[in-house]
Amino acid sequence: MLGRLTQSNAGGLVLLTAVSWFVYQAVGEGFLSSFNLFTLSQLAAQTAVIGFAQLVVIAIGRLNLAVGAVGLSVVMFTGWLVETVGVSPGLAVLAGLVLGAAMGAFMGWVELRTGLHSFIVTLAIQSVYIGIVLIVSNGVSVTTLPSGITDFGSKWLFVPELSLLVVPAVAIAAALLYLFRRSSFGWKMLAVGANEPAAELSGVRVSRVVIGSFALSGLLAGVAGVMEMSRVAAALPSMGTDWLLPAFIVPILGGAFLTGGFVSISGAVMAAIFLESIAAGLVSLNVATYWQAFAEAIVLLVAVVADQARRRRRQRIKTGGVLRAEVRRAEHDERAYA
Amino acid sequence: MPLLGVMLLASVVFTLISSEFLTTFNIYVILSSAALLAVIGLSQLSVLSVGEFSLAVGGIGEFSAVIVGYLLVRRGVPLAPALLAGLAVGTAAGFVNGVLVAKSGVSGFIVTLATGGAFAGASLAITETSPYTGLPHVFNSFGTGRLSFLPYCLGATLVVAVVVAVLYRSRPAGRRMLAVGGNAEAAELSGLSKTRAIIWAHSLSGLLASIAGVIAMAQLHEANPSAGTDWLIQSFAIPIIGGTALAGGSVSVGGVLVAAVILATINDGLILSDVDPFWVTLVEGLLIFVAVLLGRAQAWRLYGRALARLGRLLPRTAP
Repeated sequence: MLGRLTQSNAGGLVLLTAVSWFVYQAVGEGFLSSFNLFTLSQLAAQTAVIGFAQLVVIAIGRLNLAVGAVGLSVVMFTGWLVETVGVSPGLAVLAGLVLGAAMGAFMGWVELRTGLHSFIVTLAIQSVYIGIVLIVSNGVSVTTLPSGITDFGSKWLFVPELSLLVVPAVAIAAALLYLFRRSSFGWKMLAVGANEPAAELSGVRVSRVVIGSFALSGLLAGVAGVMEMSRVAAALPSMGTDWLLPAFIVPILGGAFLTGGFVSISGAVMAAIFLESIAAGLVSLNVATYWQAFAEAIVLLVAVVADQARRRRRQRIKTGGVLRAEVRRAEHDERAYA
Repeated sequence: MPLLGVMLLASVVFTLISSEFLTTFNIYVILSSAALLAVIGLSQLSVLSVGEFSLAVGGIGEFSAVIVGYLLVRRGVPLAPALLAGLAVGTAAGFVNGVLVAKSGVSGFIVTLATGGAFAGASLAITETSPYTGLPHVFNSFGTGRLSFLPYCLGATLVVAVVVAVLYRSRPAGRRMLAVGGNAEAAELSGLSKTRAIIWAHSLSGLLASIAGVIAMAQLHEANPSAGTDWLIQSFAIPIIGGTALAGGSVSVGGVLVAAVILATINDGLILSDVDPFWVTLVEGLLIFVAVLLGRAQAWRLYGRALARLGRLLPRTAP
């Protein structure tokens, strides 16, 4: 258990988050106020889901630069269904999520058919998706959303410090835990990420896994989009442009390997909370808003580099140990022969 | 060659659609936008040469421009030292990226994503989001002045392109980068340092990004802290369309120049044909696909030809 925690970074991140909360509360103003914590929980929940949308493709050793573009498409489509067509909110969100999954699956299919690196495929497709959304919507935002959608983002969960948005985030985290720990599809995803040729040879249908993972990524991007739509109570055509950094930092800081084969759900959740704590803390420290983006990026950079250094050291200690054991065994053998 | 075909086709179509397309002024507009795009593309090309990515091209570009603008407008520094300082800052930013990528073991993708965010954030912070205006007259006329249909800034781009081409064709530093990009293990075994090549590539990319930032600044007549926001996709689209290998080891500077003109022509033509400006976004994405697939089709043809040649040879050598 302890080994799991240290490998997944969740333990370290809990500590870091706790320290940052303590510092912010001691130095800043009103960090632990219920308003601040409510906002923090809203944002952390959404950031976690954005990170999950990336995590499921990182698991199979792919990248998805179109998480923001898919989230945007889902939101604009849902907003259009509700406002112009007059579909009920529940049905509209469902239809939006189906669209998100389809858009994700399409990227997986293109990647397989063309054999290009997923970085290029998703970079090009995100531009196509954003273009289509803007052409179709004319860049006009949807601001008259029914209360069914907007209430969700502003309601409490039990206490005024927790947003109701935490519920979908936790539910998805639980579902992903089940996926990667217990389901065969999750294991196949990790197998493809760790060693694709080996997975293929042992009977995994790689194409299904790739398309399925990208569909899941699209679905989760859609959920994150709907969460943002209910939080800001509008479907804005500028959404998703600032998702790129959190989408990658959350899984990577959480302990996932960018090359695939290993992910950590608890690590990703903690990384999302840490990331949003840093941002919220800078507000409470009265750091000029202009400097916040810079400070956030620097903190994340330091965290990622320090984490990598720690991983390498562990690796070195491990291999060092193995080497010493080898040398000892060799000496022993030599003596035995002599 | 297929690139030139695409360009001719696009030009003919746009000439038919819009009577303004083939005017001196419009050609100047296309060339000056291509002059900027080419340098953005070269900045990515230099990182691609060692098989790495940089997501920080836009961030470094706008950051350097903001530094130059700050020195000129707020500090009253003369033009030449201000420009030098901007280019030095860009190179240093690239150097930092290179050291982080080569030494920390964190993937270059994550490093440049974070540093790119930091540089973009710093530019917004220094300017407090409002661009520096009131740049020297000489500088502005470098950005928007022209000789008939030739923009002055195209001269700067051509000089930069020639220097980069010479670097990769015949200078040891350039050859080393290509060797490491082509096959890092083989290069290391023959005594070339991968670390050094990566640091070189990122520093060069930083320098080129800052040159692009300065050109953009001259064209806009202001140091805009969000000038580089759209550069991410363009920085990849141009070298890829121009035939630079994504995996490293092979670059095409001429291809970058042609690709920049193509992209500028298509963007300009779309705007002249009065379609939604959002089409530009969509077309940029599609172009990457077309370019990569065309490139691959060519590779397949070469492969097929080689096989056919082998097939012709075999029966003769057989007894």
